[in-house]
Amino acid sequence: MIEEISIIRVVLDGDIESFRLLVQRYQGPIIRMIKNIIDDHHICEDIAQDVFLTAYKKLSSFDPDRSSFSTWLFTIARNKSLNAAKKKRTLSMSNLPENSDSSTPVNSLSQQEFFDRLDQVLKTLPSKQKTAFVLAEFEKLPYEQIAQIEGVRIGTIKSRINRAKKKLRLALKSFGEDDL
Amino acid sequence: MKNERFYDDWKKQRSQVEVGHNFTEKTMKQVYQYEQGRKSSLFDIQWLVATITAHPLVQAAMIAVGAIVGFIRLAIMLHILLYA
Repeated sequence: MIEEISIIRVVLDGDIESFRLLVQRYQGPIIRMIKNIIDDHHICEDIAQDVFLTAYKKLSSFDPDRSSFSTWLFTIARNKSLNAAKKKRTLSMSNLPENSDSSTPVNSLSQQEFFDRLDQVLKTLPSKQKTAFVLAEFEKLPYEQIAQIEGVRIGTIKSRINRAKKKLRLALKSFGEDDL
Repeated sequence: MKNERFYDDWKKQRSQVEVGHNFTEKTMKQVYQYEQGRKSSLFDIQWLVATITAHPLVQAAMIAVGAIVGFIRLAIMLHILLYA
């Protein structure tokens, strides 16, 4: 695997085509992160393209002494996702939808219904909890890196993830077991 | 236990990602278009901002230029006020 710093240096020296290596390396994680935050399959690739274009435009301002390239790129993606989500107003802390009725017994719920319920809870999480949760649970990033992306302390990240998990647990309590 | 298994399956499902087959091409096309536009335009604000924020020397130079311009403007105003 070619060192990212070397690729960046080559791109900054004028070899635009080398930027393709960075796009190919990160397109999967970036699209997945955006998809999990804004929950709209139709626009997540457009936002991801915008993320890479912004990264290209600002590449000269990337400082490897301050963060890794992936942290820097995820930070751009996080900001773009939250802006897009704000526009769509999907991050409101509205009540859970009707299908999260807690009276439904566990055994009568199919796996898909379980997934739908978790999707709904994820959708209604406050943006800060949601981004921290998505980066930790789906991107498997270490807390330290998430803290850098979010610009807060590790303790704050742990607390946000715990609160998000607590909400998921609470919403699923009605399933009969509480062991996430 | 059932919840735990379902929860793990849900995470696996949401961790799957499908990248459009021409995503890389589309992205690189945008990059080339941007680069072409930047080369054709004489004054690129975004490039300028990126350059200024990236290099401390350029930042210092910009501040110095701003200070000099401000001083000259002040001197001209004082000259006009006192001698006009």
